Amino acid sequence: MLKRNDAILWRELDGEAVLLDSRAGCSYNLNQVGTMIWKMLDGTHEVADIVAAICASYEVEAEQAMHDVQQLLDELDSNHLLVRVSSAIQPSA
Amino acid sequence: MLVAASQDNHFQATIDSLFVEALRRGQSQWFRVSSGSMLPLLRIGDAISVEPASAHEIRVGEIAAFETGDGLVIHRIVAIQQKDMTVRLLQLPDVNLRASWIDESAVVGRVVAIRRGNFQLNLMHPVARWYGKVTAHIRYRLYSEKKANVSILALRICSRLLLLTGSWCIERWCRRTRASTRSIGDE
Repeated sequence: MLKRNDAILWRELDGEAVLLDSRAGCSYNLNQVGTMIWKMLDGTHEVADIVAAICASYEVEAEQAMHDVQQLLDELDSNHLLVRVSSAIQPSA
Repeated sequence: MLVAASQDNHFQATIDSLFVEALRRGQSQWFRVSSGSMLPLLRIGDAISVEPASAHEIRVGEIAAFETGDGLVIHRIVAIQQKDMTVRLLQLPDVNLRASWIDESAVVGRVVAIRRGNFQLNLMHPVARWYGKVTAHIRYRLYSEKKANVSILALRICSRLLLLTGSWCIERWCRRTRASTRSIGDE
């Protein structure tokens, strides 16, 4: 599972997220859909949850939403804005 | 004042506040000087390294970075006032004698290095620290006398001469340091 990199500072400005990688000196601006995805990348939501939320909020086919989400995740990941977390494993009784 | 090239005012203000947050989180940051209030030592366009520091850690003569309503500002600290557990710093630009007290909560760090063109000046070097301390003491004296209505013009000229001579000496020292570093690397 991917989640936001804690080293990335961010703030919401007029519904759009402004991201700062202060070590690299790079800033990024996400649109409203990107911001929605970014906010859900808290380590508790799977990609399927994000796609479902987008389909519920916008008139878009699930397939298209999945493609767009995956594209953004790849882009964020390639810029080191995300980290991978392993899914929690419940101990068996 | 420290602000990089602006695109959109709100966007830039947000980026600036994020950089300040990074400083408060303990990450040193590079900024670009965008005003001439610390001439001749700091010129517009110079890159400066700001390391996180609290008001309690700042010493007289150092250049502190602090938040104001207009953004992040860097000015020299010429006096420190401690009362109980709180500290106030008196900041004074190098180009005029308009001082003001800053609360410790506004302080985010200190300038530790200047990069201009192909050379870098370490402000934590003993020589640079000594220069900062002497400059601060003399300018605080001038500032105090200014309040007593002694000839302001003469005081400003004295202050200016001190700054020009001091920064010229510092820059010469810095270039020598760089040359010797390069020769060591060539061995």
